[in-house]
Amino acid sequence: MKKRTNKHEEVEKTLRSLDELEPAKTDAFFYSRLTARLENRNEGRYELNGKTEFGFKVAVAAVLAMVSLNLISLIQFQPAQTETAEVEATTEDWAEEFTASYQVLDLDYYENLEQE
Amino acid sequence: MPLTKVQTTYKATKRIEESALIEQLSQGSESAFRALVNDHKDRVYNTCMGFLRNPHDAEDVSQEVFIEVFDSIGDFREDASLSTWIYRIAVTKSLELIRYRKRKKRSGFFQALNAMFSEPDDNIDEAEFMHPGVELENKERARILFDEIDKLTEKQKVAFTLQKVEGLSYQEVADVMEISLPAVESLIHRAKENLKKQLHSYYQQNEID
Repeated sequence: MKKRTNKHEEVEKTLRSLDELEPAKTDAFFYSRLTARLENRNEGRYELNGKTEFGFKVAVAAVLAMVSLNLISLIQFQPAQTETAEVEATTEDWAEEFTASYQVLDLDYYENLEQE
Repeated sequence: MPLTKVQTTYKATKRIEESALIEQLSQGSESAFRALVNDHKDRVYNTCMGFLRNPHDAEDVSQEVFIEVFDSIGDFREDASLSTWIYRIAVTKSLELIRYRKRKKRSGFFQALNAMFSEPDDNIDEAEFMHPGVELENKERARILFDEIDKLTEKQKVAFTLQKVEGLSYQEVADVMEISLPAVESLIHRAKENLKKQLHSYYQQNEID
């Protein structure tokens, strides 16, 4: 019984423990710290803007470099393709001449031979 | 002159002064900003302290509140008083930090990592800190009460803290929370009932002689 009364009293006392609460206060330098933070934030923002601008320039330069490299390789690749075609054509001509001289690809070879 | 007339005149004068201050703030007047900060800093800090119970967090969030005011004074519609608007920002920012801390606590792995790399200031134990306005003889009881307030629903917690810690009237709490007066009364009543139950079970678990 006594314990229950104690508990009840304690609950009531605890609930009243904030009744006489003195408000918490900042110190005299709060405004100075606040303005310093605002200034830092602005500096940070400008710095960030500068960094973003620099980053954008680097990105543009990188893209331009990539495009120029692609163009260079395209220009270099096209004549190479023509040369290959020429080489292939020459090889085919030579092969035909060679086969003609040996009559390797003459499909009527045996017929002609029988007729002879 | 009847008292109600005096009050109305006082309110009207305050409104005009406030409008002028808002106008100056919108134009970026530093003296107006300094006046605003000096007028409201202690109340903002006390509100943040009531929710966060940590002087570093309360200072940090109070600064954020004034930065927000500085940034968005142009968006302020004068349908509420300036101080109500500032209180609203203070409550919102404090709750944002509490939610962030809770999310961080839930992710145990990241918390462990954070504890390894963060500065010791970030890890102040809330339970060890006490509101500076609490009388010495009430310190332990106030600590228990603050712990139990943390377990209330968010709305009950806001209403109870604004009324009890910040000492706002029910009408002021209603204005800050943008709810009706009966809703505030109901919230605070339920908060007190819940706190009683919680405290009973707390003292049951921690037997008193």
